Amino acid sequence: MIHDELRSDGLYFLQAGIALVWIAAAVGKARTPAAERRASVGKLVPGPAWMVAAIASALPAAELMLGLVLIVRWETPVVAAVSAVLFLAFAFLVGRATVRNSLDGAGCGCFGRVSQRPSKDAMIGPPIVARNFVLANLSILVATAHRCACSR
Amino acid sequence: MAVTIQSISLIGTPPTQLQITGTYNNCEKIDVWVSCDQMNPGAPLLSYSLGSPFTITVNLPRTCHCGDTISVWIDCHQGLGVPSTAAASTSLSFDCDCCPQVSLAAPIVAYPGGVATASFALSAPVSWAPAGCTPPVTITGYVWTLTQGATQYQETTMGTTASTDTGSWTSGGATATLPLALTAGSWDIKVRPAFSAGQLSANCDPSDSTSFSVTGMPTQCCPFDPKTAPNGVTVAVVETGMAPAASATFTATVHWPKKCTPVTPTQYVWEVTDPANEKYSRTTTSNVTYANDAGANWTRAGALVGALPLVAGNFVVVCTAMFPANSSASGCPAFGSATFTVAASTTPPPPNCCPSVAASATITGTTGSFSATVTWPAGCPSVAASSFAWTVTDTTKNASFTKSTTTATTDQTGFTPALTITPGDSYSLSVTPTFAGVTLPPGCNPGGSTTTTAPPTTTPTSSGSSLGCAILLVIAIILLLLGGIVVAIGICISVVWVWIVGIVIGAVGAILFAIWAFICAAFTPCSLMITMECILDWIVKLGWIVAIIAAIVGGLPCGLASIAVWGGWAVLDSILRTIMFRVGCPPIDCTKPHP
Repeated sequence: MIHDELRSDGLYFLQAGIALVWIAAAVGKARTPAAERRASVGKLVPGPAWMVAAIASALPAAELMLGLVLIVRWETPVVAAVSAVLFLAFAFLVGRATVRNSLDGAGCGCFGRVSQRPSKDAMIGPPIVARNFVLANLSILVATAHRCACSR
Repeated sequence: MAVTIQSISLIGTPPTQLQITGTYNNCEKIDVWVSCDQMNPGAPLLSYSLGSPFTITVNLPRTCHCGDTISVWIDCHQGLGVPSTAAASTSLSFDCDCCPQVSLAAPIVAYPGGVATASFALSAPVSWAPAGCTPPVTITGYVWTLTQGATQYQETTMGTTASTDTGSWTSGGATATLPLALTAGSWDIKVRPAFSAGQLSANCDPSDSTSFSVTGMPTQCCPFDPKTAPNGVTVAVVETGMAPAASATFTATVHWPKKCTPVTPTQYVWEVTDPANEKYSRTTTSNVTYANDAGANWTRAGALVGALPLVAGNFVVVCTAMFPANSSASGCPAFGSATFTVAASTTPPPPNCCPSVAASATITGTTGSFSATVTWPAGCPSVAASSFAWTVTDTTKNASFTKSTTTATTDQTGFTPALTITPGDSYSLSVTPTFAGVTLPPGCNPGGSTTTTAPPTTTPTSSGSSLGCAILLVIAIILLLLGGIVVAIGICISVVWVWIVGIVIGAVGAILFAIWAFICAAFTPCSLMITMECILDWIVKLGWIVAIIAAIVGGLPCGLASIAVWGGWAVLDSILRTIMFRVGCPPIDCTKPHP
């Protein structure tokens, strides 16, 4: 029983950690001027300007909502799965931009302006892709762990 | 009156007759019995009266067989019906097949320097069987026959040992190259004695043979160290003094991956390029050489110049290590280089000696090539610059990038901040040389500048095949990553069909990756491979976190599955890195932007 409680607590810490990542990303983007945000999104998402602008506007709110929902444990398996899909999508988009060399030596803007400072000589894309990939895996872990708990 | 039998011996191969020698006296005649049946010797085989001593040859009775004991009796007759009063008898073993017994010891296989060699020896001295039989021939040597399929080598030795790296082996009548090329697999070694004149029984097989395995020759294993020696060799230079009395010691170090068995290079080829771009060469068997030692035999354009002329300026030394043929490192591209600067004397040049500098910039696509030419006025010592400070300014974006080199040429890499050539942008280049040990006259600030424009992009550079190969690699890696995730999910939630789906996805990814590796790797842009490898590298670096958390919150099977998947990605990363190395991609540094 104690083991189950510890496991449950650990799982929630993991879930809350993922939620905080989403909230930090949302806050960072919200504090970034809209033009910069659109530029960041434009580097990752191909498409017409209106679509890029719409995504850039909606993204902070969506990320904030995702983070809050994860914290309050509402429909955790589903929300965690959505979180995983989004992380994988970001990993793919950043990877695609890295391959196309379109990050221009800057970051992805995932956490707003703070993550967009050009790094001197660093190859920026791969660690961002790996970070999103790992976060996606952790989200999957949260989703599947809750499923396991339901089935027991 | 006496009869004696001195000797009896078998004649023929196989024996068909018996020779009896002996003496008698006071006998009218002697009767000779030869029989292999002691209970029923029958009638005398012959009577003999031609005098003593006697040598009688008789045919062996047909009743005698190999292995029987042949008995001989001789009776002395005094004649006129006087009965026998003296007789002699003897016997011997009917050894039809006196045969040498040869026994091979287990071959010893070794891999000195990565080359397989085998040693053979008899396990015991040659003996003859049956014991005590009379050898019909004399052993003069041993014939060794080494075979694998249609490949056959043969050698005759005087002694009872042989080795594949020594001796006079032949193949198809021609002298074979040593050490013999023992390809991986099973080999048969057969030895048989060589004889002087004579003949062994048809029933005698004096040879012995055995098999041995040569394990897979280590595949080519080349010197390599991703951090310190991307081309396998590092060169260290220790210089003393200043031009023209400078001297230098060059030391090459070969770096081997842990998986490789180090192979000692047979020779080191040194090439030194002086500030005037003249190339000097030297070959040594040692990894250390000198610019001007007593036996210096540096050559320039094939002509011997002796000591290396170390004038003031920048030098580049390149050392190439050569490895033995047939070794695991044979054919490996192993080289390394180092630059060093020979300082000039500190004597200041005359007041009017101020060098002029011409800068040149060439931009092709997204790569730039920058160079500087230093020219001294006539009558001034031509001192080479010890370093160059470069500043590239993107005048379109109003951004500047700086870099310092010891050479008079450079490219767009290594600038601070990172310089990305943008097609269509205008650039200005300025370069300022410095001269170590030289005091320039007051007011002399040599420098050069130029401007250029990056040509606008016109057509994509990727060919259809390279684009297809790039897509294939990306899809394969994505499938392998996703397959691993799905397998881990399936195991974590204990749903069989989920992890089967994961295995299928992973298998498809693995097949695509294999197709890419065998068909496409050489056509895939290195920049893409470096990016994918770096992504995998980072995933592997961070993936253990997921594995540990999975073990904690998902249970042991879930954790083990996650660790296994993580290990699979690490293997994939390693394979990709190896393929990149083999197709000649530049060394991978995931902390720097790829070209």
